[in-house]
Amino acid sequence: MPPEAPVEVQLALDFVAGRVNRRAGPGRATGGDSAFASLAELWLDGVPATAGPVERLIYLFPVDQATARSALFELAPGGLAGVIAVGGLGAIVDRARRRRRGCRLAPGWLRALRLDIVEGIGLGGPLALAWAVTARRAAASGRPALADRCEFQYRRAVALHRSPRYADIAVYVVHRPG
Amino acid sequence: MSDATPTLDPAVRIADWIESTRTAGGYGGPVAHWWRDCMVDCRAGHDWRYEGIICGYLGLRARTGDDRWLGRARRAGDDLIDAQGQHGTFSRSAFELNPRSGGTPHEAAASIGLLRLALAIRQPDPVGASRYLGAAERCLVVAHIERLWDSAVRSFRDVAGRPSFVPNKACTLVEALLLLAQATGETRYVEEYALPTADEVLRHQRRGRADPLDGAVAQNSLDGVVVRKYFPYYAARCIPALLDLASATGDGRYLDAAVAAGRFVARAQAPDGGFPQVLYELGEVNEHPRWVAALGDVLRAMALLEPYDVEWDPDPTEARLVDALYPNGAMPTASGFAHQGSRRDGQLVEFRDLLPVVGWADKAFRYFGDRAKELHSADAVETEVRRSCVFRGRRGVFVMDARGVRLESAGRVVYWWRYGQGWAEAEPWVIVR
Repeated sequence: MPPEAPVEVQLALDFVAGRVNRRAGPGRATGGDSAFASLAELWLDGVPATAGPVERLIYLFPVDQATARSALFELAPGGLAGVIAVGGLGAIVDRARRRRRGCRLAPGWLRALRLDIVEGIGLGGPLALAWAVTARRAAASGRPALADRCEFQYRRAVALHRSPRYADIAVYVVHRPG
Repeated sequence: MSDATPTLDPAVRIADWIESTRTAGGYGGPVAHWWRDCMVDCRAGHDWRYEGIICGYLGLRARTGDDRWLGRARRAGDDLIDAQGQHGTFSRSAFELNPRSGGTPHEAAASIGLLRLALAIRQPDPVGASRYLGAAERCLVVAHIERLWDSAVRSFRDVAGRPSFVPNKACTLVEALLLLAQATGETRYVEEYALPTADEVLRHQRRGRADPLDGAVAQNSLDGVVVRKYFPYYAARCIPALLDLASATGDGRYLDAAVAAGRFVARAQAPDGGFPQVLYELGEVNEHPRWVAALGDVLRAMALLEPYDVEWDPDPTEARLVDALYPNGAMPTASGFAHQGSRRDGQLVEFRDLLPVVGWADKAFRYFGDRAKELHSADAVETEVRRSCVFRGRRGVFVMDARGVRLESAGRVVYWWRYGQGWAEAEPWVIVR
């Protein structure tokens, strides 16, 4: 069973899936590791294509630019992809949480692959991290009312940073011109 | 089915709306909840909505004798069979966490629907009944007993990899296990699993005459530490299982616990019939959102306590539910989402308050399906509903018509759930603020 998606990842997947799945044709979901791939697959309509070019692609946390390039080359002309990568502040968040989710993908790097960026947003950031830590500490110290209030502030803060550069997660919807 | 035949209203009106949400694989639509929302993925969800849908249709069939209602219950059961995977879980069964599967208490609740359906049809259709029973048994044995049973503490975990317990979810599972024992004749489901789990629920219940939270049930425990949050709605969700166990075993502790939970719920009732979302110790409260459609579950649980000594007036709560019903049979979800997590009170109407959600409307549907008394015809009403609201800090207009539900803001449609479509259209800020 795939891991539970943190709220920011669920929002990001909702965002890209709502756009990518409106298109017909073969689709694929992939990720930087098997857990991310199986999570992304839940958001893909229909049976995933196992090989060949795809019209729809959902890509969660590419591990490095080389594998991201290979995956995005599979996007057929006219196809739409939703790419969720670590944002400009993601490395700091990852260090704080002692994990690594994958690499950054800059808008310029995506354009160099001859992809048009249809939409780009950022999710989360230092404020969200601060509220998450506060909520956890409040819960751990037996203050559930305060923990709930902090949890709601965290959820509001998750989506506060619109620019991928200043966010925990960068979300791009890209189109391969046909 | 809303033709010239005398039918039950408002259950039939809600049924009409619930049917309008059908999409590939079952009943779809967005979800708004205390913890999270699932606003964009509107594909069919196989979560606790199926408990109320199947039981509601069985209730209507019992009231009318009309087999067309049974046909709908069977189709819902078929949705679950088609949605079941090899590990016994159902696809998209986690409600606000959809599209995840393995949702708690959702798969146990859906199994209750399957088991009640199997028990309802096994005479005269034992073959058909065995299909629904088999699916429920696979779900309860493989996805619950084999995956979530913690033999060290003799109760079900909420998540497989971590000591965790959620009493109201456990009670839903206890209800399902009691029905499974009834359907299969295997009492081990009660003796080995339901009883020790219910005992763990009792350990999460506050008791004490001087305690203002007497009868309340703690929301959960994690790593053995009880989280002291007390939701009146979830206390109500514990009552049917405790009463079932009291009836099955004759053990007065379960009846006593159910009555205490009922008295806690009754004390939490506001004059307008609503309930605060969550109470904490020392008088702290998180008032919002206050459920509307889900009040069907509260009314049903409290109705089960009618034979016992629980002082309770259902009228304001039932009025809150009936008055909220839209002309097309949809039910609004709540009031006060705009003030969630805030200490301030206010009258702002939020889009999610007005949004109808199948997995909440089914609670009202089941209640009315079981208990509605007035017989008169219900004609499909296709009136457009327009209400001013706010969402994510912006002003807008909630619009519901025969095509679906949308939010208009600044002169354009910014969110649109079209009935029958798997994905809602949404501007970025609607999803991520």
